[in-house]
Amino acid sequence: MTDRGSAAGLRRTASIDLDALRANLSSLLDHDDSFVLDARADAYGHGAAAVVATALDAGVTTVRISPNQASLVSARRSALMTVPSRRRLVAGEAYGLDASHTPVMTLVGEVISVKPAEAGAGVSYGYSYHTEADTILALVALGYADGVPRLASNRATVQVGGALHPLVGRVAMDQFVVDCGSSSAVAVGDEAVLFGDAAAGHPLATDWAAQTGRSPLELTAGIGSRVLRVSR
Amino acid sequence: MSEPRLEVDLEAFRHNVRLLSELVAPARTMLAVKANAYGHGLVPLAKAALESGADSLAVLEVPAALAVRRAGITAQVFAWLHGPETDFVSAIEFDVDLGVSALWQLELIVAAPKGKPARIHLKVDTGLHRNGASPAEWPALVSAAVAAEHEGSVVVEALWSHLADASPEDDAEALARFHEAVAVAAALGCRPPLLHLAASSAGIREPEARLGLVRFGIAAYGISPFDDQSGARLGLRPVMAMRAPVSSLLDGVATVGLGSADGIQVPAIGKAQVAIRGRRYPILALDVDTLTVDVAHSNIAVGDDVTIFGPGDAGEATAEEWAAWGETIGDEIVARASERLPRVYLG
Repeated sequence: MTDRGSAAGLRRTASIDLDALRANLSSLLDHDDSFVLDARADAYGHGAAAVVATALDAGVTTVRISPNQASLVSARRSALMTVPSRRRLVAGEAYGLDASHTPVMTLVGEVISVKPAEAGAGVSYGYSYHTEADTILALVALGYADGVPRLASNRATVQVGGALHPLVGRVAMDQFVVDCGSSSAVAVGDEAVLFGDAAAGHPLATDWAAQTGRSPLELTAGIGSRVLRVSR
Repeated sequence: MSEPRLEVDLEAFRHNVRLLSELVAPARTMLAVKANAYGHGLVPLAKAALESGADSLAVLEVPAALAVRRAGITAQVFAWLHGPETDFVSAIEFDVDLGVSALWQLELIVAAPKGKPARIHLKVDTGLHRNGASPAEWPALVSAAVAAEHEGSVVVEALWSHLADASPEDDAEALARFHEAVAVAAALGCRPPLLHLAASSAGIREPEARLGLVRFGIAAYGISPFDDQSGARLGLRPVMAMRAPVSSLLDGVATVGLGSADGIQVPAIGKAQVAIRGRRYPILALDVDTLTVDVAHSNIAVGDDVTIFGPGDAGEATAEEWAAWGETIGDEIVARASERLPRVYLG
């Protein structure tokens, strides 16, 4: 039994855009239809069941999954493999984690506190950040237990109230703080988008990855189980 | 052959909880089992904590509190991180103590249909600037709680806050702010029986911050809350070990079925070492499901157990050492251990 996020608690969501996945796969298949889609590690956190079903529908012939996921994916057995082959393995492009495809995952947390702070206020553990001016601080209910890397502290950018703002202070196990500036209209219950699609003004997983010393695939694969995957 | 797994040493955990609860007595010990007990597994750790000196549990959020109740645990359970959709009705029905940081939370709790008063802990922000009412908002929150108590809708069980662990001076300042807030509440007619402020760090080093109850988290899992002192020096025993067998061997390179998706910290690679048969070997590369180890000129064989991190008593690194390699803290090393790995409980 675990404390998985649910409708009765804090909202933590990885929204999975299967249309974007389909479009990415179509353009990849147009160039070369012999590749193997890499869906190891629960499709790098995107949810292997939905990703595998969508990929096979889109015309992908073979999908590589993690050995411990064989029972979780109810797809045609003949299309699944759990060991390396000589065929080209495609991952980042399919999930839109490169410059030329559409991001499939949007990671969204919930603003659970909004408070004014005076200039010079210390924020989060160790007071590693002090506000420069009077401002509004938003608390977001996602932390490193959810796979938000602690290395994102004072580095990453988050979209809150429709605008981009810096993540400030140390990322904690279950929460982090965003400095929204004095004119922000952010409210409790608002969505905080960590990364998603540039077309929607979101920060990108590739930026978060570069800021936290890992690849975009490692970032998305690390998103924890309290975060609900919601396909759309 | 064994499988990739997390071993959780419940005897080590009980030892730590006993040590810490005896250290802070007569202050009570509340054990933090949030985030799936820092990755160790909620229910087994909650039960072990209550067997060894803790009398209450800190679970973060209402769904986790309800999971504790479903497991048959009747001890005091405290949840304090809420959103507008949090299920306060079930929380009250199942006797979950609720942290209250803002008027909107109190209003939802008061409005919730209930057959008994909600048990609430009012939180003041003493400088961390996360949750908690600011000193400016505090009198209004306290007054509203006093009014709700008179109506029989809530019982104020405690006043509380959370420290930044920035420096002894900063924590002393936060403690002074907390006492000021307690005085403000008393003047408004709110004098609950319990005050709590300290977590692991202040619980160990700042006796004046222990007050009625200490919320121990990371120290109970055998990891030091301090930069300048290891868990071992504090007499704590690491609880979690991550292990897997060598699954194949080729030209002096061993492959192990644990990867980045199991929670192994990518930024540590380049420095990180694993232990096999009591000796350390460098990790060559980390893939999503696997890692490779340089075991050239050794007698390592397929099936030998590889320890990524563990208690540190058989040559292996501890989570604290991994934290140093990965530029983080031990809390992230254990809390990020993937749920896809089976937990094996020992002791």
